[in-house]
Amino acid sequence: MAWKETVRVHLGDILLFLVLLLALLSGTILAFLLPGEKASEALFYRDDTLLLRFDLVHPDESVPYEDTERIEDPASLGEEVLAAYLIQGEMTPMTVALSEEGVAVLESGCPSQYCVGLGYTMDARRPIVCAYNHVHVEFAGAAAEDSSSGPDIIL
Amino acid sequence: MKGTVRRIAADAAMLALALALSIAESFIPVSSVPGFKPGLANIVILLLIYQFSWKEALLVDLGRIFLASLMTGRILSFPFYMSLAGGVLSYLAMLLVKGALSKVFTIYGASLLGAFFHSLGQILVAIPLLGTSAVLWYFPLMGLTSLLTGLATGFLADRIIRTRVFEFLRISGR
Repeated sequence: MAWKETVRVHLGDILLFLVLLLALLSGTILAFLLPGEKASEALFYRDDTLLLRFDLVHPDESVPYEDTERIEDPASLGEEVLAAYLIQGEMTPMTVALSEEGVAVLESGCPSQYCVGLGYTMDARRPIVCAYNHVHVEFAGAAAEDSSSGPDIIL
Repeated sequence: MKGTVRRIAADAAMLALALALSIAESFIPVSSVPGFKPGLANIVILLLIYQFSWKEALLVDLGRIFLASLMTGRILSFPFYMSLAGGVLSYLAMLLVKGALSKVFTIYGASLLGAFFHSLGQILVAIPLLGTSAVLWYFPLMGLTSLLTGLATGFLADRIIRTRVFEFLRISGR
């Protein structure tokens, strides 16, 4: 069976697909491939409440604020982990960690697990989102201030 | 009277199917692509728009979103609002294609635009709820995956319509 008999489309469908594909592909390449700005600290927020300040340069100087507990043996979470904290999200607790590659969510009770899947980052332009737990991270520091796309990361 | 009863039963069956597909999707393991869902329930909404009526499509779409949120314990939570915004925007886009743009696009165009606007709706509602525009970073990749899923759901809906199953069951038409 010819494809025209199997798939009946108009020229408009094809053009729509191509336009959207080109636009979104360009956006994806820009978002992922262009080098980002390196931040020096990561601020974890639940809505407007500051939970934790991770110092990306000096991990020992990280400061827990609201609803945050330090994990005493971070190496148990992985050889690369320099510091780790348990923060309380809106719905579930989350384990967040710092390594030489940046910050990451190692564990979260959210159903999607997007935040966990994104891995480590210190790129100020690359957001990590955990909408379920209302947790987001804002990158700060000299390098991050130069970022034109804003300082936010969302977990 | 018999036709009305048949139609109500068909609407209920479509709602049940959309609900089952929505909940089944929530069990699909996700990758690191944010918002990636096959959008299987969109097949049902497409079928309703093209074979039933805009009212039935809207009722089933809203019913699916509310009932799925109730059953998964997420009613009036953040994911519920994202789902609602995506669902409503997607529905409006598909309705526009079926109505005013039917000479330009087929059901494939409707499905593509529906999937695209589903992603857009989710992002637009996430910005004020999270209080940051950083979520926009996700949109190109979300949109890209939605194009692929939109193509797939459009193909499936088209194939189902061409089986003439709704005419056979005497439940199609407006």
